[in-house]
Amino acid sequence: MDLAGGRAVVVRSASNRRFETVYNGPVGEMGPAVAAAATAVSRGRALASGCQSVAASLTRVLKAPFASVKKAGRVLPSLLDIQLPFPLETCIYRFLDVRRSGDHVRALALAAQDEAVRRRMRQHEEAGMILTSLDHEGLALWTESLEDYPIEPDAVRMVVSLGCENTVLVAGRGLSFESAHHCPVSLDRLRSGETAAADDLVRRMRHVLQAGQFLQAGQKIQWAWTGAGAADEALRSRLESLLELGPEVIRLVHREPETMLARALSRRAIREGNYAVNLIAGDRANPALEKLRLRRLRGAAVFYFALGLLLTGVNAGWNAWLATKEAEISRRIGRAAEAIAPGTRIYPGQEFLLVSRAREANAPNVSPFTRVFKPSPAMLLRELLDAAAAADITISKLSLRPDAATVTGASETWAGCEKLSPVFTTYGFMVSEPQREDAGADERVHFSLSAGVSDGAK
Amino acid sequence: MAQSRFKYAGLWLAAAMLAAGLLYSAHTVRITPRRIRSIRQKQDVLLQMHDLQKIALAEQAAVRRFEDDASARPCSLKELAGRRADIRQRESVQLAGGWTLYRTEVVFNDTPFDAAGDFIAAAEACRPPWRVTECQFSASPRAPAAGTVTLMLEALEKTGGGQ
Repeated sequence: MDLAGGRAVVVRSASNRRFETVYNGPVGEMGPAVAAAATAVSRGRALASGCQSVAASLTRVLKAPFASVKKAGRVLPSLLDIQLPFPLETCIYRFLDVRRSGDHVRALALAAQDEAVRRRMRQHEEAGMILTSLDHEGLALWTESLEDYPIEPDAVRMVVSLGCENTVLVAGRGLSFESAHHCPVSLDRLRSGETAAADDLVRRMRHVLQAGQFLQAGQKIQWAWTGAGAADEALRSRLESLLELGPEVIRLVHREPETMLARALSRRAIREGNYAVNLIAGDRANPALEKLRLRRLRGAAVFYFALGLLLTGVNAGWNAWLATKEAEISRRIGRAAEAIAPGTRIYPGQEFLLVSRAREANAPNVSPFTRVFKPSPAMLLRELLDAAAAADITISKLSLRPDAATVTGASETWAGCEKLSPVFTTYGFMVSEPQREDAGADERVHFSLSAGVSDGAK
Repeated sequence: MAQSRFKYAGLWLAAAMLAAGLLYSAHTVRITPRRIRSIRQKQDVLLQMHDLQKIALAEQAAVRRFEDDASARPCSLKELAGRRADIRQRESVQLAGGWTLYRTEVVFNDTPFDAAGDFIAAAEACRPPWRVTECQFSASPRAPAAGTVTLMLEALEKTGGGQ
């Protein structure tokens, strides 16, 4: 909720990308939509974020002369105390973006008087919204501006928010927020054509540029307009001409400038990024925030429990499936073993070995039966005799056993004796080269031929 | 306070459940390759067993065909060979199921090899058949393609009552 000058802009968002403007008008006329949002907040179902104005707060960049961030953290409150026009004890303060920069530690200090914070919270309560977080106007404008228009690392950007009540100037370099300033010039005064109002604002802007040492030669400067007055092109042009912005200055106008601050507060409430801040803490913290935290905690617990359960279930299922598959294969092996070697005692994992042994032991009982159905040696014998007759081979000796055969004989030519080899090959014998024997008186070629059965064919 | 404690207990329970799930997952990732390897090995064994089973089925079918005609006796080799052969029974082996394997040697002297071939064909055509397991032909120097033929034959006969 952006609450300023008797007007309120309320933006609702459920994600980092979609923003819905719930209300934009006088505070007194906020309708049931805002009341519904307030109810959701009180029930711990939503966050409500407002902002401490730049006018009622202070930002300073502090430099602690230590290389250690931890050591610097101890002296930062004292350094801030020096800068404050009121006692530190009466303030709520935060140190943001604490980091080493060269030989020192740099930190952005944000402080607001306790009473100012209390007053701001009361304003929101009177408007019907109990806040869960109180952000800072300048930081919100800066981060949202970077969200809309990314910046180059060495560029300087001046965000000018032309609000109804006053004007806010935020300056930064690269991604770093440098300073936020307030100028009590209302939009009505600027629009009325009052020269003094515009002159005051322009003077203030120039002062900010000079104080921040942003006007160096060759410095890239971006000028970003936002707030209710940013949509007024004539006003912008007038201010730009008074500022004498050169052509090298990049001019930017934020989309939907009137709701930009509320949008920024909404985004920052959802997504905690750099420069995230909440000035409401301790006893003043909204109980709804604790409810929401517990709700998130419960959600996380349920999610992780469900994830753990899912992992356990998936693993149990997968392992059970593997076990079932393995058991099924084992059962099938057992059934096959029983079918092959009935009555044999089979031990798991040794099925093939035991069945093979059982078969070997039983082979003499079975092989005489199976031999009958294999090609008969008689057929081989018949074919050998026929082949010998056809090739004019005289067989003098022939021996045929199940695993070996020898033929001794004579033929007309050396080539003729090789005509017996294919017959052996057909019956699965491996034939060796024919051996030439001593020639007889018949002038024929005498030979001997050996054949054996290979191991695989046995 | 009690509610808060309960909620933290829920968170601890969720963390424990998640840890259990993650540990179980790690265990599964560790053992799964081994189990898959074991399954593949068993599948290979099953394939080998199926191959053996096919052979065993063929053997059983062969035995069954003899069982179907178990009352028949092998024909007489003497009758087939006539007087020209010298027939000697070498051995008889008792097999399982009440079967007996007879091995008989038949020797033909001065016989044309073709005639021995005819004898073998006739012996194998008997039911149950005689089957030649070994043979030796020695040609006579006087006549080509004739001489001494020594045959070893075997036949099966159901002599007992076992299955």
